[in-house]
This record gives sequence, structure tokens and C-alpha cells, in this order.
Amino acid sequence: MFAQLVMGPAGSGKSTYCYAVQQHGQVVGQTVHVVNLDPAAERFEYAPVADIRELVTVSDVAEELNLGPNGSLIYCMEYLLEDQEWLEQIISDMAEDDYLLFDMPGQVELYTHFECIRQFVYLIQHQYQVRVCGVFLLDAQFLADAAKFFAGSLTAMAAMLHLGVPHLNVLSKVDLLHRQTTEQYHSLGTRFETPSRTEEATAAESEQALDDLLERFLNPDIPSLVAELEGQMDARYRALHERIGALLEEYSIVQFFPYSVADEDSVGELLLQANLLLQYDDERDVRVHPELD
Amino acid sequence: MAGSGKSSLVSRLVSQASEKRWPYRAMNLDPAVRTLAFTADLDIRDTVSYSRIMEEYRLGPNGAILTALNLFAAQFERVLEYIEQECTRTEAASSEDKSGHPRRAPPRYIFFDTPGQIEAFTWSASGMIVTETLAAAAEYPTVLLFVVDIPRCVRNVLTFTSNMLYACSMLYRSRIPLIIVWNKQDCVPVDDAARLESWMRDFESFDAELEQYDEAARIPGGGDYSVSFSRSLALALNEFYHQVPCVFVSAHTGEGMDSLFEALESASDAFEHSEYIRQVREAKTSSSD
Repeated sequence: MFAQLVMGPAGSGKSTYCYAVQQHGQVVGQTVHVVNLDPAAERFEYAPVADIRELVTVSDVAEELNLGPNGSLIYCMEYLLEDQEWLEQIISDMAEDDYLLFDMPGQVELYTHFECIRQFVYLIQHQYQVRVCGVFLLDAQFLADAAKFFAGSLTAMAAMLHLGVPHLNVLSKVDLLHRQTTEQYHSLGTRFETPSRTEEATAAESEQALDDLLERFLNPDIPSLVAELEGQMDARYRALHERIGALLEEYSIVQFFPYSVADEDSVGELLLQANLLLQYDDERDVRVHPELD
Repeated sequence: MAGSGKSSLVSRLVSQASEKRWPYRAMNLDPAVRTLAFTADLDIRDTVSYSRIMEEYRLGPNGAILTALNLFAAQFERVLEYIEQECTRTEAASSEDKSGHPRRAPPRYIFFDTPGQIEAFTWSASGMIVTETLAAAAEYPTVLLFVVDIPRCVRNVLTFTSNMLYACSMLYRSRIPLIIVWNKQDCVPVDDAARLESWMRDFESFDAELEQYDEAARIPGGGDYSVSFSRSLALALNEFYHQVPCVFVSAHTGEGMDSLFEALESASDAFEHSEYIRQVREAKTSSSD
């Protein structure tokens, strides 16, 4: 069995990603089941094969135990681990080479402070022999310059380190970047760096600039980002930029894959990348063509 | 981070400031907090009701927190007007305070308590609007306090590392001075705080600790690759600790608060001389031309 854990801050597009992958799976003949594990989820477009809210919801917990939103969430996740029957039922209903997406809660604390998600990963890997990879989504609009790119990569790295599974970083909503007018973009992050240039830029120019910007962060050249950071921040941080740059380069976490729900190809590419991490096709080929063994 | 004691820290900052007769204001930005440990001069809950947002917009707790923050951020100019008005209060008006309470004089400090779900503030447009309005538009010396829970971090080197990576990410995201506040010192034996300090000071001991986790196959990649990874990670974080001030406090007992106030002073000084504020001013001059 194979699984992607879909993570990312609230609003980064986790549920939409799950829907898009499920839809794409149908087109290419790869059945993808989605399990919602966010007990505070509101709505999603995909049809879940299971939903943690059948088991427990944040609002019930908040009401009954008089906990705040965070405390309730932790309680729900711990409840999931305690009452393994629910999870076991889902997994026993699956075939050996079924493919699952877990739509995870967004709270960063779950990936830095608390043990429950790590225990969950350990459980499905070791008890149920599920092969797991992490998919971490970040909204492209928050990666406007070198400093924010470093910030995003470090957040992704914190989650990656915590879970200890192969990891894919995804830059989501790239289509929205294109749609933004010069003015909107102007207010999003470059406000203080290049005001006059963006103001004068025509729509076409700004679209080109966005393409370039995206290209810079999808295939980042670390030395040039470090140089940009030197201009953005105090001189005393120089050694820090270099060391983090080295870390990002060495561990290849710097690679972000672009994704937009409107672009079928980007969804296909992501599924391919995740399949590579999970060695999905290797396993399947062996079973489909046993004579090749 | 949730549960690290942000509100109790704000409450301790407030009580220490009034003891020292330093005028201050305190603001609450957490729409979902039930009982506040301090008296807020401005409270997001007075403007937007978290539970009504949940009902009216049919949102869950997360969506409601984000929406409440967005609604509040959209009105943040009014908060700024309030701050400006408070800052220009004349001493005469404040001396009318019979109790001699320094609270109403122009504030020396303004403390903001943020929502428990840290990413609601750090990875949202509204959090960015709040910090940028204070730091760049109004040019107030703005400092981020990253509050971390000592007991949780000392138990597990990976929790410690994830927290430090997140803190480092905050530094890059905001580009304003950051102070790491290790809280709940009263809850752990002295040895534990010393252990954390040694992870920060001595990268060899941190590296050794991380490598133990490699052996337990906790870090992806495995083998030599992850050993070199833990080394680069230790080196990078080591440099981070060199540049970022860090204090050990107990919001509960008040221990270490003096060193926190000292760190605040030097961080606000660092803000005034930072590349960040220089560029903000430069951009303002060039756009007014």
C-alpha cells in the first residue's frame, strides 16, 4: 500500500490538491483514495473513502471537554491513535497496491511540538506496511523573494525532519500569481524593494517578471539567493545565509514543484514525482509482469 | 507555539513593566482565546466574534480564526491610529491618573499576544500586514518573541530542532529582530536548561545527539548521507544561535524577565540600525520623489 501525507499551512490548498490528484488518477488509470484526517475540516471537493469526522470532530471535543481549538485538535489526533479500530478498518478494506492520500490538519505545531503525527506515520509504516511519503504545500504568493524562499524551505524542512519520510515540496496556486494584477502583486511583498519598477511595469512585463520569479525559486541557484539576502538583511547574518544555503543545497530540499489545480500537467508531474519517491511503479510492474522476474 | 505560554508571558511582561513603572499597552490578537491572563487595551474579540464567524460564514475553527484575523487586519490602520494617539498623549494628561499608575502615559512598550495556531499568524496575509504595518509603515521598533517550551524541547532533540528551524524561518520571513524566549524554566531541573544551552553553544554535542537519531532511522536518507545532513544542520543552527539572542525565563515565577527586557532593548536598537529599516526609509523617500 502507498500513501502520501498531504501537509501545509491552512489555506495552502491541501484539499484541492487531493481532489486534483484523485481526478488525475482517474484519467491515467491509477485509483487514488483520499482519507480526510483533519477533524476541523470544513468542506472539500473530493469524495473521501474515510473521514476522521466520522470518528471525532473538533467542535464536539471543544464543546464536550471545553477545550480551545488547538487543544481539541490534539485531542482528536490522539484519539485517532488510541482507537485504532477505525484506521484498521480503512486499511483492511484496501488492496495491496492501493494508493491513499491523507489530507492532514494544517497546524504547524503538529509537525514541531507534538508526537501524534509522528506516531501515526510510524504506525501505518510498521504495523500496516504502508509506504509513505510527505507532500508539503506552500502557497506560491508567500515566496516572493529570497528571504521568504528561505523561510518557506526551513518550515518545510522542520516538517520533513520531524516525520522522517521521503518528502516532496510543492509550490501551490502558481496560477494565481499570474492572475494577480501589477498592483496586487506590488502589495504582496516587493513593496519595499522595488516600488518604482513594478509600478511602471506593464501587465505583460509583470507577467514575464512573475515567470522569471517562479523559475528562480523552482530551480534555485543558491549562491545568487545568498547574494540577494546579503542585500536584504544585516551583514551579521551573512554566515547564516551561507550555512543554510549549504544545508538546502546538500539536502536538495530546495526543489519545489509547481502546481496549480487548473494545470493538469502539473498535477500529473507531481503524481509522477511522488510515485518515484514511493517506488510505486517498480512494485506494480513486478506484479503486472511477473514473467519478467 | 501553542501551549508554550505566550499569554502568560505577555501577562508577566505586563506586570513587570508596571512594577518598573514603564508605561505600556497590551493587545490581544487571538480571536479564539477564552480567558485572557492580562487586561488588554485592545482585544480582537471586541471587534470580531470568533463564534459568530463560525456560524455566519459556516466555517470550522481554523477558517474562523483566519477570517477573524483577516477582518481585523483589514482594519489595522485604526489600531495604528490608536497607537499614535496614545504615543502623543501629553505627560500632563497622564499625571492625572490618581493611582500614579504609569499605564496611561505614552507607552514605552506595546505587547501583542498572537493566536495559538502559529501558522495562522506567520503564514497568512493578515500576520504579514500586522507586522509590516508596525515595522515598515509606522517604523516602530518591532521585535518578534519566539516563545518555546523548555520541557517539550529538552525531551526530544528533534522537537528542539524543528522548533529552531521554525524560529529561523520566522527570522527570514519577517526580517525584523527575533528573540528566542525559552519558557517554563521553573518546570525543569537546572540540568535540563544546561543541556539545551549546550546544544546551542556546542555544535559537536548537538551533532552527536542528532546522529543518535540517524541510527534509529528517524532521519530520511539514511547512512552517510544523513550523517552529513545532521552535521550541516548543526552548523547552520549553530550560526543561528550566534546571531539571535536567546533568554531563559519562567513566565510563571518571573525568573529571567530582566534579561528579557535587556534583550528587548538591544533588539530594538538593532531594529533602528537594521538594513530592513534603512531600505524601508529609502523606498519611502524614492517613492515620494
